[in-house]
Amino acid sequence: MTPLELGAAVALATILVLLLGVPVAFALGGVAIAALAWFEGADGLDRVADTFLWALEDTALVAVPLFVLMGVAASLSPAAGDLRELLKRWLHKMPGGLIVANLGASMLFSGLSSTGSATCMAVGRDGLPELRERRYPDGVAAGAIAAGGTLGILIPPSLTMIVYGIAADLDIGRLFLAGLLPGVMLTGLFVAWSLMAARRWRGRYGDFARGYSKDERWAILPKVLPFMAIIAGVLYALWTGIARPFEAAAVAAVVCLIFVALIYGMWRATAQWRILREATREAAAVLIVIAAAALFGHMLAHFGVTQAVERTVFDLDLRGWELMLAINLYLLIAGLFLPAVAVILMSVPVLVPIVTGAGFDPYWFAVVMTVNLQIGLITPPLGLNLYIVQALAPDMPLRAILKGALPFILCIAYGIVALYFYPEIATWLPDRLMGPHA
Amino acid sequence: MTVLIHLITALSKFCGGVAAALVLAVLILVCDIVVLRYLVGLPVTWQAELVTYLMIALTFIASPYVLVTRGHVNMDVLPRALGRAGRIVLGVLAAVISMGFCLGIAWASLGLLREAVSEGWRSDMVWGIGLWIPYVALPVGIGLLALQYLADILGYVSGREPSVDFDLEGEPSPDADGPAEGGGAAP
Repeated sequence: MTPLELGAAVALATILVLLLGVPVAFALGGVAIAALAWFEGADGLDRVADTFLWALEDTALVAVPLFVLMGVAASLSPAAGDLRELLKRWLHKMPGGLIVANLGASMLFSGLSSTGSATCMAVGRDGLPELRERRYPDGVAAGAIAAGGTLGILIPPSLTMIVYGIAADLDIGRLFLAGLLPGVMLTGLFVAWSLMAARRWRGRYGDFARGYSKDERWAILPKVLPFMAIIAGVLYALWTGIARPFEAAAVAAVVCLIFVALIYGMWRATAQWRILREATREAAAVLIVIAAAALFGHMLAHFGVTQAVERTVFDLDLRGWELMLAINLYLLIAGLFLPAVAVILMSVPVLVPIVTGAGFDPYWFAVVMTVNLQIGLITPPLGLNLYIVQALAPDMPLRAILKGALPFILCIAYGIVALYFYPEIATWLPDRLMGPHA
Repeated sequence: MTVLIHLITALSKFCGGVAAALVLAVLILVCDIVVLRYLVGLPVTWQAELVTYLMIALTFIASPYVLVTRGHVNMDVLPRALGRAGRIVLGVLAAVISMGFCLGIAWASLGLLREAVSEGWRSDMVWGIGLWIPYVALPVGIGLLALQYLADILGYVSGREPSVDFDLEGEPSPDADGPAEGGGAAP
């Protein structure tokens, strides 16, 4: 069996095990252990435990549970609802303002939450029922909530960027900044499609239940601004380099816990303990996938699969858009089955040398990769956000949600093309603020 | 059997509490690092190392709790498409595969732990502070995860399908050991 054949066999086995419903972490780890035991016997298992254990030995990863803690504190509080409310009040005169408010809230809330599903849940909880009630077409409403949620992995702080930064040994603060404008661009594309689709459907947009006075518009601002200040503070700390990501994350988490206590009265020990437990649950789920992906990567490298793939791609001598097309197709397929952090951890060691060798910027590529992996959040079979939307609107068939999400996938694809032709969308802000990188 | 399942579930939930306390410890320690580094201006030595070990430990200790609350990311396209009988068969199969992985890792980590003890982690300065934490957490956490999978399998076999619900309020689903859902109703 050549390494490439072995790689194909392993990929097939992994997909089969995943389809059975085995959690991603144990599917990756289980296939890795099985392959090592099958081909190497007991000797193959020598390094299994320490690879799995020490995959997490990186102080930068401490930012993961801490950013998750900040996001959970915000999403268990009414902060996302207030963000929506703020945008609603300010946009109530705009035709289609309601859907713009929801997408805008997704974008802003992505700055508090570092995962896609948390954003989707926090904004969609009230957003989706309201959109449907205000007579937006089901597909557009569901698609906008699902797609808006995908911004969580692109807009800083973002767990995928942290993992990319660790795997490729790049500056995490710079990666965060690189994701900011592309996140705004994608929001714009989502808004454009939603408005077009909603208009074509009924010839007019769902109205607001009522208008809002000037006082009402200003009244909600003090509740929301503190949370926006946290986001700005994190970005400022990382941009100027005064704090490392995990330090900024800790301070941001503490401040966020204080804000939800002060603004929303969540100061009781039970409320704070609930936040802590939920954050533990979400962070541990991400971290164990990282450990398992490292074990899987160790297995692939051990059998020479990684090296063989690298050589094959190198021999193909793809350049420019051909290379990017091939890589994006690969990412699209991988993202169908695996969460973004797993794909990044396993692919970055192979892809980043190829991409930088072909003259592309590694920070720009982080954005392209993350945007591509956003698609996996709204496509089956993994499609985490699709299932959240379905849980939020149980009467809506999955087929309708999928159909509604499809145009948003095209928006994301369009965003990737735009990033290819205008890499400045990703690189301008970090270059401007931090100077060109070496 | 029911008592055993309840006992294991309670143990897994307790793990969640321990792991949450570890998250709190990580938060406090990193804040300590920040205060020392920026306010006091002292060099930070062992804290960063310890904080990393605590994070590793909490990942493994939390894993049975994550399972009980159905927090591990997985694909449930196929189980959703099947009827109750098919779901149970797939559920058992998936639990057996996952348990196989857990037992493999737990076994391998015991070897690692033994090696670490025999080479004496306490005497050797290079081993640093709290190195035993991850070494102990891996077999304990993953071992308890295997136990929780055993409880899941027992549950399937005795007709008490573990719930796949997740609560929209973000509250960990309390009825993981509750009555089975009938039909193919999606959460």
